[in-house]
Amino acid sequence: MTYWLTVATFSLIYGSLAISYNICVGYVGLLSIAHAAFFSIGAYAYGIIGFQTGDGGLFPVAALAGILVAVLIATVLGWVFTMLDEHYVIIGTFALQIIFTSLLLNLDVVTGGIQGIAGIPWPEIGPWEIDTVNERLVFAVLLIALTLGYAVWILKSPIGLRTRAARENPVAASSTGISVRRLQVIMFASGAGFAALAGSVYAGVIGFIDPTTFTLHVSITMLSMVVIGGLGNPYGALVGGVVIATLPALVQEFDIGASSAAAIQQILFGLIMILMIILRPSGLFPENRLVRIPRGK
Amino acid sequence: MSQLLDIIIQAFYTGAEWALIATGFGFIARTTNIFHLALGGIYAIGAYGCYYFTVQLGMPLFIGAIIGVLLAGVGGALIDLAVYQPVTGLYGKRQVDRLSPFIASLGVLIVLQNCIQLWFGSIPLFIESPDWGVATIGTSRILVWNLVKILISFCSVAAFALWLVKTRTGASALALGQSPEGASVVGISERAVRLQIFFATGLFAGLAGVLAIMTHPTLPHDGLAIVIYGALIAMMLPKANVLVWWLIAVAAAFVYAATITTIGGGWHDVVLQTVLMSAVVILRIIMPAMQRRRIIREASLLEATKNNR
Repeated sequence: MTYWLTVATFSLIYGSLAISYNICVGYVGLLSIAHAAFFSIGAYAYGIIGFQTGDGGLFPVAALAGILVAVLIATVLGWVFTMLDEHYVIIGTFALQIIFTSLLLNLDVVTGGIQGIAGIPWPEIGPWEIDTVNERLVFAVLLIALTLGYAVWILKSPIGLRTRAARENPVAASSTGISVRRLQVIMFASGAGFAALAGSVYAGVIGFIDPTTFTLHVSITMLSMVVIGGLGNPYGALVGGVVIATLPALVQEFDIGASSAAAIQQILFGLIMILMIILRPSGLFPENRLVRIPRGK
Repeated sequence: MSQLLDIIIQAFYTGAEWALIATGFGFIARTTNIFHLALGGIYAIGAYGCYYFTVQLGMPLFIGAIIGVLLAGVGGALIDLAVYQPVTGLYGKRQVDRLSPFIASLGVLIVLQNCIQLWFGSIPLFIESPDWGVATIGTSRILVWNLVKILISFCSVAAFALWLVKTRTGASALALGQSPEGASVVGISERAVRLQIFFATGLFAGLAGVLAIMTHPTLPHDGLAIVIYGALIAMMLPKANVLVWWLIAVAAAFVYAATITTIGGGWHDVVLQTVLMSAVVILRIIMPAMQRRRIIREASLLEATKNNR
């Protein structure tokens, strides 16, 4: 039972990560492959502060610091990426993700290098110490409620509608006075901020982080979560995230060895991505079911 | 001085592999507008295909290498036929967005790399390269095999450049890249030309894989990193001649080799990616902006001169 509660906790964290990624990719249309980098910023913010001080009570401060750093970096990068053609954004974020992972590996004085950081204290929020499996699950539920709440609110808000209009037709959106680039940067940065928050929660829940958790493959997995769920639909991203994050646990139920299980799981991801793009490109839950844009007269 | 020469030689034989990938990637992006990351999986097909036929089945190295390269070419064409053509709307009137082929290519890459890992395991594999002795250049010594590798890569890319300008298929491929509608009007079959493009670029990726596994231990997942290098190299000057990409690849490999020699550790990725990304930003954002500003300035000067007259 404890095992499945832990699986559910991590599935929810990845679900919230997928929702935050959907804000960057689905809402804005900026296909970034560096989302795991923002996830790592949050995780290492709490990992380093928590490990150095041994005080889980600093979780809110560390999470906030992680969010601020992620938002700052995303704002600068978003500003540059919005100047580039789509293909350059993809390749630029690929490079960025590799740089981030290399930095995590090489700045071993700060990040612990390949060994990572072990013994991160359980987080505490005021008098609430999150140190049991059930409490960690509740913590993950709170995270997903917060992320989903923000994603749905922003999607239905005027800023969300303007962003969507800018994504569909930037020229027409600009002609109505919408500052396309500013909107894109704001949304991109907010998605990065929520990824950092998910990272801090992840570090607090698992108690150990290393660079392998934040590689290019994690960013690609996030993309598959969003593609399966439905680009632009926060509920779809949630479902995609939970399904993909639960898949490894299901594959491990078959006694086939860790290496083969990992490869089979990846093959399943890949096949699902290809089939979804060919048969159902808008995902399991297409965007239009959620938001109906009023028709012009 | 001797160290510099060593770095330059290393840059040539590392860049020789990257250049083949950059040629394949850049040419597909130019002609079909597809971001063909699955080329990393095709690279692995070439490498592991050659390994299977030479080491596991005991065939001669030369035959194994040719089969590996051909398998990669066929793999490339099959990916276009089974995945990209349906996704890009070549069957029926499907509404196509630019992200779908990229996502599909990622899916294909993941499937290919992991199928190969499942078959061969996750231990790096290596084929003994032919023992043709050692050559001396100045104070540096280099395996003759590495010189042959540089030659094979350069000649392949040069032959491809010739094929593009001298053959009808090459011209059709270039025409497709400039305007698919225009190409269709003059009777060029988009599906047939695309298959040939994907087959040819598959051969390049396969050849890069074969050369790689005969030079250093190779993993099924190595292809992605090399495709990213290749993509950054080709996308720096997307309209350039393929031989220019070959030179850029060698320059990039020089940065890589110099970082390994001077800084060491695992910093080569950080340095190389930063240099390549900066070059892309300079060439694709800063220089076009400066050019636009210069045109506007010249136009306003012309206007002012006219008004003064």
